[in-house]
Amino acid sequence: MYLEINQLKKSYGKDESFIQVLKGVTTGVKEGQTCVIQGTSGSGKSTLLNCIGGLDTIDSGSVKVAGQEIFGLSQKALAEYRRENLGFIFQFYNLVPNLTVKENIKICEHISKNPLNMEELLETLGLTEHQNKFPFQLSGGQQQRCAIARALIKNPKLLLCDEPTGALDSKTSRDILVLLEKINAKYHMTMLIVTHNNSIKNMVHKVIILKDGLIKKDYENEVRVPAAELEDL
Amino acid sequence: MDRTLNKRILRDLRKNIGRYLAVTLMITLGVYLVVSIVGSADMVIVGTENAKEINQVEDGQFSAFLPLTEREIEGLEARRTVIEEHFSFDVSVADGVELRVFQTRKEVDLIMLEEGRLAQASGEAVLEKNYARAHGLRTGEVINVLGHSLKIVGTGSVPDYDAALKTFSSPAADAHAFGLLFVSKEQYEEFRELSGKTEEYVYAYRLGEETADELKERIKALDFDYEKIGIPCNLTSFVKAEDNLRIAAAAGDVIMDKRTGLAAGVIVLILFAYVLSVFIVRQIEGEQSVIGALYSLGVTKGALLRHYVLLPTLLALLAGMLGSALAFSPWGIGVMAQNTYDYFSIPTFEMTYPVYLVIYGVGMAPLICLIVNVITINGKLSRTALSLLRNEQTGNSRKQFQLKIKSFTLLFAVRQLLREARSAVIVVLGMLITLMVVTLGINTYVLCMSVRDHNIEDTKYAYAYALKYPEKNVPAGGEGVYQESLSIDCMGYQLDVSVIGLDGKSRFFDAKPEKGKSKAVVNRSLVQRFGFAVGDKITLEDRTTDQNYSFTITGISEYSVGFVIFMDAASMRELFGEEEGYYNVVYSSEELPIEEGRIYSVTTKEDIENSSSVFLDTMMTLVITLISAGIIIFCVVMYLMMAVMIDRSTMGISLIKIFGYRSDEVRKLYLNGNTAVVAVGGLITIPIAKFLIDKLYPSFIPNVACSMFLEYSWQLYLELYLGLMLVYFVVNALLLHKINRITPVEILKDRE
Repeated sequence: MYLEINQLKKSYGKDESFIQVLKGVTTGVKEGQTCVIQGTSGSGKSTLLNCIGGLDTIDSGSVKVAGQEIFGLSQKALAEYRRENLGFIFQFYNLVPNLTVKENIKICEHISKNPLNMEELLETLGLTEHQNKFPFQLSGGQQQRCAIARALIKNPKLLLCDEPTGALDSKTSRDILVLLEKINAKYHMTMLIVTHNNSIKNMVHKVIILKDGLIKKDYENEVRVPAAELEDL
Repeated sequence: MDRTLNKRILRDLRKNIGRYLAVTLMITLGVYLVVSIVGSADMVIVGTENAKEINQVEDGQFSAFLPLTEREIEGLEARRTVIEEHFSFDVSVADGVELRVFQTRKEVDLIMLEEGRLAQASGEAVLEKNYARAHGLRTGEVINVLGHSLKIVGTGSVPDYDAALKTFSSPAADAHAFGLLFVSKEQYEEFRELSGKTEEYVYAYRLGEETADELKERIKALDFDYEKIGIPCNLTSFVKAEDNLRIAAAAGDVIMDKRTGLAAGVIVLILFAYVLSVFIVRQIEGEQSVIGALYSLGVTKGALLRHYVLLPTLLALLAGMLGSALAFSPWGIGVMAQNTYDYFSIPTFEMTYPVYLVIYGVGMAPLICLIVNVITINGKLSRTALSLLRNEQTGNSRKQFQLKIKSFTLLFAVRQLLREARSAVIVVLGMLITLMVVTLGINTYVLCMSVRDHNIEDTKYAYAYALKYPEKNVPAGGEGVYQESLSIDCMGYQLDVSVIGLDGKSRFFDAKPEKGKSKAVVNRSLVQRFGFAVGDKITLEDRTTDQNYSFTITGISEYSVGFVIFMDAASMRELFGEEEGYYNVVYSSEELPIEEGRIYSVTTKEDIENSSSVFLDTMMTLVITLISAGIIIFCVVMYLMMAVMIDRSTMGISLIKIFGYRSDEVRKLYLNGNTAVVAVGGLITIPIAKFLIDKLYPSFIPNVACSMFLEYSWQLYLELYLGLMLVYFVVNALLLHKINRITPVEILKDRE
């Protein structure tokens, strides 16, 4: 397993405001797999992604990425872990508003030891003609493509996507999912996609469904539907 | 709606209590300083004016070579003009310490007692208050003068020695070296005989039904026995009160404090108001979607504008009230006036509460804050509800253009700088203002040091004997010169200029004047103050005769003690109608055996050294206060502005931390631009601040006859720059801590 999660627990608050978000999650994802983490609001899917990404602390349990234990790492070591292994894509893109498309991508290229080719990536993501535009000059889909390019430029081993189509219309969502599918095939990256969209689970290798902080379902798709053919996005 | 919205104010205040508290304290400090400075100036100005009727301050004074007869005085008093003898002579009471002895005044320039009573009998004396304090003498103690013990029955001040200058050309009052002693008539006569010195025949007048000029003409018209005194006119000086550097000197000195304080206060308040507006702008930017929602619900722009300006205006009002209350408290005006009391010999004035100053203190800060914030915030609230709801990023063509920079770190820093241009401008403006304050302090220090050092260095003689009755031949070992005193107008003040006539090469002065009644060499002090150059004309006035003298400058002397021009002695004697070989001052390297009775005054090199150091001693508190205030303002403004820049970039910093950026890399991206702003800003603002303060500086001391050496050595510029950078790096270190506290989770919080 590339990603191994064992009895992961995470809570917030104390006394009356105490809430146990993850109550002992155990699962795993193989290298190069795409995986959807699905669940209703408050099920703990984003918290699980944040714990895997080393953005949030873990109460107990274990998270291993490529054999490396995340639990107990210092902030400095977590930063190195993210730097070496991860790419992030967010629902609201989180582009730096005063940087152009190319400059936004450079943020991650700058700290990468072995970055992908910028021009090729821009071409792949259809951003070549937009590379000198600022985020406010782009549509939502273009902004998300820029965010994907920024995540990919590092050539990460694990790509974490938090509601990557959450702010997009269905056509643009499909375009983005097609793109992610293409990237997975081309770069063989392991992808975790947090979503509340029920259709997306049909395009990935593995599906994890969370409910109230516990895994309700955890299975691999025997047959995957290409992203371009997904319905009800 | 306003009331509901305004409930947020306390919450916002609690959330950002640190920064609001810092700016409020800065405004409080600013108002306190301005109101204290202006208030103390007002107290002195109004107090001096009010005291005029009590102390019967003179309208002017004149001196004569020989005393006037009773009949002549009666004649002069015919037009209800009051004339009183203010005869005096100086006695040495210790090495380098002299007292000027007067009789107790009865009609003009009355003594205002600080404590005790007037001297009524022999063996009693009233001491000038600053001299008494400087020598630790108190009422009831005994002072030894000319071998006699005098009981000090009181201390006080007189209005004609408000600035207790030994002579009109003395650079500064020095209570350690010179003071006034008021004794009874009998005691005065006894001392005069004992001292063997001739008196200075000064008459003070209060005008009746005539002008000063009319009185002067009547004095000139007196039928003097010129043969008896051997000079063509008995009147040796005629000085109107408004031209007398000693009278109302404190009020004249602080008037500039008042004007400068009021103007500087507005500038500093604008700076802090702008700092507050940056906080509010930052808040509005963070609440765009909320504002959009409120607009869509029908809340008006006016209501939101009022809401957003309310907190800064209230804080400014609170700061104004606190600052004013502090200023009018015992720790304010009284403390600020202490420097004036320490230097000038003035009565302790009652505190005044000028209405305009109370309004200025309480109202100026909120008014400026309101105006600046309305101007700044208005644009931010002028967008449509939809645009705000969508949290649209508006393009600013001035900030968002292509950059051809290869280094990503540099590129990012430049972008960051462009984004934070508003804060960067405030940082630079803050630097300029604080550097002006610091430069004012350093200029004062440099000038005081320069005056002290140059005076000591340029005084080549050990003794200068001003003679009233010179012998025909110059005493052996001495260098006789003919010296006169004229005056020059300096921003409305008449400052004394010594005219020294040299016979050939001098042992004590470097000037080489050419022959000619209209040719003169000017000294370095005149050049520095008035910008004279060789070939220029300099016009001086004889206030006694109302005659102007114009000279072509033929050279510049490095001698810098006071204002001096040098002439060829023969040409000078011819110009002023003196006989060949006449001299009235003897300079020498050693003490000369000149009869006391011939001497008007003796100035030693030690006197010059002591009086030169007075400048530095009296101004040191001001220097330290200015530099400290500058550094504090600089630190606070810089920290707050840079903290705002970082706050605005919290999401960006959180984002790049998610990507795995290390602390030093984050610092390079987000703080290096600031370092460049400060580094380059310092290089620009230091010379600008220096230039502006150098231009303004002469107006701060128009009534002091001294050089205007304000040049900094390159080392001092370097130290100033390095000091600036050092302060910045301290602030930077604090900000780094702030950056380190931003976690990757911040961006997730924002999402949620």
